Amino acid sequence: MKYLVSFRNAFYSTIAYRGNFVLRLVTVSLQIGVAVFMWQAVFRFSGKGDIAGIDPLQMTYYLIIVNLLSLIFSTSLIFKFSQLVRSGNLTILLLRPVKLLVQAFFEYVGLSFPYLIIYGFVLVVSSETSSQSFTEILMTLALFAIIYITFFLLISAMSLVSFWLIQVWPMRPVINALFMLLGGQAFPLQVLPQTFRWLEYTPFALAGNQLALLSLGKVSSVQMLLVFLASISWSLVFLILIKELWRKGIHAYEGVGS
Amino acid sequence: MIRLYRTLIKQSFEETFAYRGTTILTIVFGILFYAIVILTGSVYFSFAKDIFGWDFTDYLNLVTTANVMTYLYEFLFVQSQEALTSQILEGTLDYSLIRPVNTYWFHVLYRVDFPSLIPLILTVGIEWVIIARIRLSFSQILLYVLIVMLGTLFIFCLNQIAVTATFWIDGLSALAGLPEYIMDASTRPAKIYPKVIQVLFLWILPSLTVTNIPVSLRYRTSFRAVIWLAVVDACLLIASKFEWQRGLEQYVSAN
Repeated sequence: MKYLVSFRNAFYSTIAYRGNFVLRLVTVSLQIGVAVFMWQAVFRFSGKGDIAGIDPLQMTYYLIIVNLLSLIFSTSLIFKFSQLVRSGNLTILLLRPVKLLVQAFFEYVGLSFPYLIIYGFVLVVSSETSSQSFTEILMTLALFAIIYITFFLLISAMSLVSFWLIQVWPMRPVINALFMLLGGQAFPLQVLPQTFRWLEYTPFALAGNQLALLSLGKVSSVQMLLVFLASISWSLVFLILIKELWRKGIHAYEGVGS
Repeated sequence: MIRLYRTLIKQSFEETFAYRGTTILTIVFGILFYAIVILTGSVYFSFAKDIFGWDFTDYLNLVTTANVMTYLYEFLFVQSQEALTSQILEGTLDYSLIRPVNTYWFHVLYRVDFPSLIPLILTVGIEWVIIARIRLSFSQILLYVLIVMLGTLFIFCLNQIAVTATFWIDGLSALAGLPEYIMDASTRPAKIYPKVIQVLFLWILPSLTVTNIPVSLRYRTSFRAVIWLAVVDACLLIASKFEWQRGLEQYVSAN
């Protein structure tokens, strides 16, 4: 129950700052527009009807979904944690009878909840272009939940570098760029040569590229299984990393300002 | 003011070496970001050798020029603007307001971000090679440098206006990121966009002019666009100073 309070507070903070909420939707629309117009130009000047099995309409839906996913898979946790370490306010949280990782997860879900609703709406609209059965839709949702946890663990592990770094803002454009490239925000990874196809199983690709293709019904059962195994494996790696980084980081933490 | 700026630069330099880990990561991430943008462009041009008359060299020129402007802006202003947001919100501007200096320029030039200098030098070097390859004349190179300076001023003004809005708006953090998104959207050939968007971002808020005009120097010289960019910069600078003056009237000290 105590963690539900964290979820509720985070959810309210997203919708309470309506200006932020609307501006984020505006900036994502801007990113979608840039990618869609760029790809329309590529389709037009390449003279091809489809690229890597994706036609122009599917590419548009793909780009809308993958950019919405970038809102759901937020990295704000890294900067929030950095602020807590820098100000020394982490000490207050350490004294509370809560598991910080669980609390952070509920907060993470709360922050992205409004975007999850929008994502669900877009899925319903885009489902007209795919021919997924009810079982496949359920499997897509189950994979979404697993990948969501994997990505949260990745962000949690990344946030722990705040114990050693004073400024983490230089990471922001790089994370955005990684999501753009590896997450398939600029283009589906399927357009890359076969040599680079392993990139489809990196955490950013699972959260962006694979989930967007899953939503369009463009992933086979074998690939679904691979995505599932990759996600579980990454989760284990990040859990070990979090444990180790926390153990070392908490010793480096000075609690200045608390 | 020059002596004061020299002192502020010295402080920034010392901070850079005090936080060596952050410095190294800033450099690495800056270069990585540039590499990713180029890689994305190479994917586009692997399917179409020519997009609206632009080849991959033009695209490389576009993203490199845009990055030169961004890194120059980051080197000169980004740390000052980051600090300013928190100083306004925390009500700690008093220390500068009581000093016998121009507070606007003091806060604009408060810090220099030395780590951004490395990716800046790298992108300037690459741009130098591109310019040699596309054979721009001496006068075209001078015009290119002028546009880069005007473009940097344009990016600074957009960000300064967004940051100064903190005097009135608390918690609208997404606003600070808006100029970055606008500039990112502008690192594409203007012609891929519909006419309405082209007019909006070529003439009204000329972010596409900033990035596209240096590339088009290879084919033609548009003095009209450069003059218009200078006029817009002047207007934005005046608006930013006006906003600062009005903002100070809203300021609440925490002392």
